Amino acid sequence: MAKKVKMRDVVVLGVGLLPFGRFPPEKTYIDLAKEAVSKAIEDAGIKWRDIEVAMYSHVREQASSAGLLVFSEFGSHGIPMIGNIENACSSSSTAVWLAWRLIGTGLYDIILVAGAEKMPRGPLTSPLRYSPERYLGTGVMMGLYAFMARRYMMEYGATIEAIAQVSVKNHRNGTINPYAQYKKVFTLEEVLNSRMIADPLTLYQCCPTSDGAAALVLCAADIASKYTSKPLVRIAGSALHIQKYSDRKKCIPQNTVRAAEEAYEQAGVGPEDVDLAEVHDAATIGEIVQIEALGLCPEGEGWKYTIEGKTEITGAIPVNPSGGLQAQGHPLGATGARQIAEITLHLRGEARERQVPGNPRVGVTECAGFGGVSTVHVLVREK
Amino acid sequence: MMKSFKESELKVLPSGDFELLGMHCKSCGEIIFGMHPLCPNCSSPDYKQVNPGKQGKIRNFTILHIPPHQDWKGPVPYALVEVEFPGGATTTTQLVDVDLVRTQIKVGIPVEIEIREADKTEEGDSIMIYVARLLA
Repeated sequence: MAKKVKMRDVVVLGVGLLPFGRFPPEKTYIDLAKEAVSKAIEDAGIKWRDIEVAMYSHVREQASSAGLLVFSEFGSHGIPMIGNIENACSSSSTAVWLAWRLIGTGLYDIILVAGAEKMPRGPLTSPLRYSPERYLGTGVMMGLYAFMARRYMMEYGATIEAIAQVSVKNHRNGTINPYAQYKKVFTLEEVLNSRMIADPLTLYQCCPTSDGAAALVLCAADIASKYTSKPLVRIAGSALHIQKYSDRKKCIPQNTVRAAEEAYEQAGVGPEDVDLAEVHDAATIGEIVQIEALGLCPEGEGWKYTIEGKTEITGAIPVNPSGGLQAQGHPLGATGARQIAEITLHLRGEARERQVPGNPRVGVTECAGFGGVSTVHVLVREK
Repeated sequence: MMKSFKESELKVLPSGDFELLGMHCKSCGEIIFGMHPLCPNCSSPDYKQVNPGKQGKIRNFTILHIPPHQDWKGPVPYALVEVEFPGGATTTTQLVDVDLVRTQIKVGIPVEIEIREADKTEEGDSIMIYVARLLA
């Protein structure tokens, strides 16, 4: 258990987003990350040399100390730089978890977190190259999500149509997000009739593999007004939890349940205060179980909330207004930072066409990762 | 000669027969598939090795309609099953020798574990993995 120490407030000073997609080989992860970092620095109103620690995240094959090759382009002014913080799909949200603590405890004032990925096509599998899993065909991410979907349907009586509706909603949201990889509307029939990948999950219920980058500048709240006049978005809660052995007895991810409890407590808010969420919908079923784990709807009712339209941008609890991993894309190392950037834009009122209405004040992100990681961040706009 | 691909889960006997491995934690009482340095549930070092048996029932399943990776030599589509053994240990493996068009896989139906050659060592020994098949 973490010790209770007095923490300073931490804000998201700047965000750097660029469209995710498929880029030619000569557009490297370094190019993508440089662009995201430049945007985040500009948005934060800081100079490169104001940064006191720089952290980088990726999952798949890149250079050794991949981030250093990005950061050295801007100049190495003697600060600590970390070439890779890796925690599967939860990598850059893990970096934020660390940065929040480094600033909160008073060691540093300004930290940069960047994540980028160039991904090969094809299914995401267990990383061990020589293992029984490779011969058996187990360890395929979408196979694991298929197990989750079937179990959820058996335990709560959900229909595959309700689960597939997540894809319909998120792809529709993607059409109004300039950063989304996919900008195409799908009907429920098109989602259900697309190619079967891992029964009962069809192709349009599985997120794509993507190229992309995202960056954040985090800053101690008490000096933030030196750099920006934008509304300050505080990271009020930050938690990382791991699946326990005993959690397998439950369908709803208990690592997220525990992370949400910790992050809400730090933030002094509850799930009833949350105005919008970005959650890990690598497969459609992911969104449903994660909103239940975050307490945004009662256990076993995520599928009903979805078909009733409560998770739409205009619904009672908008989920994945960006289009989520389904439409926005999922360059693994960038996704965690991307989610926090997205919520920041909504809380600032800068999300344009996809802006969640009603002047939202509290947003939550949840980023899950292979191996049982879940990171939850609660963001609150200062009055 | 036959060797196990994962000695913490599968023991191949000189006779060609095999045993699966599990652990019964004396501290928390959990029965867990495979051998681990400590009980994965409660981290106790106080456990005894148990044999989960060779028959169990399907707890969950999926059918994959894509090859899992570029070097895949197995069938497509193929089925994966979560097998629950008497006592509660569980593992995930491939369901083999099943006609996926004609057979309806269901939760709760019994399966039997058998071993297959996955690869060969440089010396020509067989490297064995365990798979499941439906009990007739």
